[in-house]
Parts: sequence; structure tokens; C-alpha cells
Amino acid sequence: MKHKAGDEDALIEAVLAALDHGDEQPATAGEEPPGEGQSRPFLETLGLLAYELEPVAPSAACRDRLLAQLPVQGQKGEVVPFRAKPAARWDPTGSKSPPWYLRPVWMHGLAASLLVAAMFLGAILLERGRELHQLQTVAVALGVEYCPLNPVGDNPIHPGARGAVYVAGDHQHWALQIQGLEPASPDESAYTLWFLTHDRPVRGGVLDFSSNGPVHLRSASMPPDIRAVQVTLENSDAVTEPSGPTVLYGDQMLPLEL
Amino acid sequence: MTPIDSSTVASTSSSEDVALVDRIAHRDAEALARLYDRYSAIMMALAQRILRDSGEAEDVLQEAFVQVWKQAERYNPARSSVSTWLVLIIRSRAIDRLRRRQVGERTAVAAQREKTTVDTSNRGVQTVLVRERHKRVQEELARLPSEQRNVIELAFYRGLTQSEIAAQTSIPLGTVKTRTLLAMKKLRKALGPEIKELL
Repeated sequence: MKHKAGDEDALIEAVLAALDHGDEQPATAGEEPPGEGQSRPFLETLGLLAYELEPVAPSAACRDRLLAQLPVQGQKGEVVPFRAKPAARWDPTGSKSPPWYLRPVWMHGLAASLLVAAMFLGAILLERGRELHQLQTVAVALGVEYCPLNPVGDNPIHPGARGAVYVAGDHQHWALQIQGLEPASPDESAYTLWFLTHDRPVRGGVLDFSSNGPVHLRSASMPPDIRAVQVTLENSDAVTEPSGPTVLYGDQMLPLEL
Repeated sequence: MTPIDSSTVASTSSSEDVALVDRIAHRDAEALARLYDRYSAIMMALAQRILRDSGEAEDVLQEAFVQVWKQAERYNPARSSVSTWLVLIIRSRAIDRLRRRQVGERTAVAAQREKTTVDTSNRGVQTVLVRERHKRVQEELARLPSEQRNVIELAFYRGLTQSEIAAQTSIPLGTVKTRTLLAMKKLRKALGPEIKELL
């Protein structure tokens, strides 16, 4: 069936107008039967324009992040509880194991995030052991995980230092706690936290020794595709990549247990 | 034995796509993963072309597939192919983001960060199909007169209305409309076989 040029112009204009309004599936014009809409061929023409471009593969982490947001389905479609999955071990070489933060199931990311922050505060007030224990109980139930940090090498700078990075279920909120670390001279050096990703180290922050007791650091964002966590002693608090000696290091992600 | 040609591949692929979206509507995450594997490279290329920033392009790609996950039951195969639906989703999201930020101050930073990579590990049928479409679309766009191609690119990649194109290029609105209509009709005719595969 042939159409008048004016009709065709109107169809094209209608398709373009729908596009301007962000309508990804504009209704077909006229009274054509489904699948035979006159405007549809023009819509498909627009859809083909993208194929002019050379395909660009997104990073593997992009796919993993997307799928991690989806509920895991059991064989019958039921949601599998998060504890059904074993803890993943980091592969510092990045060869086989998935990044440590990729957990396919969590149900209470925001609550866990707030809980990590609450745990963080609870850890500062060490005399409130009972409250901390209660918080930890809830944290375990919500699937908060942690990466233990330990001294490295035969002659570590601070052999008595220990720490951990706690990560909430959304894999964005995290909290660092370190004990046994001597304050560095603020004029000469700074302990700096690094997230070691596939591409490059990402600075997590400079440790603050202004209060007595354990050192803490926290944030609401984490870089993707982390392989390990490292604390180094830098000669400035403005370095953009690790250059000083490693004080603490961790590459294991573990479920928090009581 | 009947040889398999690209049209057979394409029609099979189109019906498979519809089946995948139907499974996604029934909360099948694996189906979303498969759809992602098929189309993420083209969608990423489009987002990156619009935003000139690979980091933001990945953000928008994620948003687009989350939208697919949430709205799969609304997809109507009578209105468009899955390919076109996905392309228009990512285009819409990328243009929204483009409008929300100052392009000028980010261009310099984005130019430093932007990197393009092509995953050559996927040698499957879908890659062959995408490559063939890529070649054909490039050929036909190259045949358009430059003034017609320009208005199509401004509309598609920049999200400009015809009035905005006229204002930006100092070309009369009527001329912009005419060039757009001529370009669309030429492309519709030239890409007839590819469009038929999608119907």
C-alpha cells in the first residue's frame, strides 16, 4: 500500500517528536495492524543509526555491578538467602576469582550501610561493649563483610598494628578501623589508605590520629573492581598513588561472624 | 542443507531477543545477562559517543539495563524491535545526563579519561550480525549528503529538536525539516533489508 508523501512526512515527524519526548516505544500511527505500523520502519531506521558506531565493550566490572543488583533466583524462582553463597577469596593476581565485593545477594543494603556507620561509632566508644556486640549481631544478620589488614614482610614497620575494612551490603559504604599504629609525624608523613583495583590504586583517605585510641576512616563510596586494600606511609598527604612502604595489607573478604 | 544467511540469523536473533525480554519480565536475571552480552557494546558505544566519557557512559549503561529489568513487561514487540528499544533507552538516558551537566568543563577531562576498547573475544553469531549492520549503516550514512547527515547526527546524538538545530546552525527551520525528512526517507529505503529483519 503506497502512502502519500505528506503522510510519510507526518509519520517521520511523529516519530521524531516522540523521540524528543523520550518515548522509546511510540505508538504506531494510523490504524495499521500490530507489527505493520507505518511509522515503525522509520523508528527502526533511527534504531539502526547506533550501528554506525564501532562497538565498545564496557568493563567487566560494569556487568558484574549490574547483575549484583538483581535478586538471585533459585531453581524454582525463589530468592536465595545471601548466606547460601560461600565467601569469595581475592586473587591478587586478578586472574580467576571475582572481585571481593561482588556478592550477588543482599537484601538490606541501606540498612547495612547505616549499621556499618553505627558499628564504626560503637567501636570508638570501646567501653560500650554490649552495644557493640548488639550492633555486630545485626551486622552479621545483614551480611556485612570485612577485609582484615595485617603487617606484611619479614620486618614490618608496625608489627603490632592490625585493622579491618568493613563493607556494607551496597558495596559503597565502608569503614576502616586500625589499632596498634603509632602516629606519623604530621609534618613529614601520612598513613594513607588505598584500594587496589584492576586499573590503578584509588586513594581511600588519610588516617586521622587526632583522637586517642583506634584510628578510623569511613566513606559512602568505593571504587569498583577492588583486588586488595593497602595502607602505606607517605611523605605527604597529597600523593595520588602509593609510593611509600606498606604498613598494612589485606586481600581477603570474609563474612562477619560473632 | 540450507545455508544460513544473515537474514536468517537476524530474524532468529530478533525472535530470541523478544523471548529474552519476556523472560526478563518474569524476573529471569540470566536472560538480562544474555541481553546485556548481546547489546551492551553497541549501547556503550552510543552512550560514549553522546557523553564523551567512558565512566559516565558505563553509569548510563547500567541505568538503562536497570530500566529494562524494571520495565520489561511494558515492552511491546509490535511497536519496535528489542534492538531499537534498547538503543532508544540508552540514547534517552545519555541525553538526559548530557543536559544535566556542563559539557564544556568536562570535555577536557573526558578526553583524557576516555578510552575505547573492543572486545574481540566474542566471535558468536550476534557479533557477526552487529558487524554486518555496522558496515551497512556506515555505508548508507556516508552516502547521505553532508548537510542531511549533519541534521540527523545533531538530532540523534545531541538530542536537539529541529528548532534547536535551526537556531544552532543558523539554518531556516523549514530547511532543517526538509533535510531531516529527506535523510530519513533515504535511510529508510536504503536500509530496507535491515529494517525488514527487525520487523
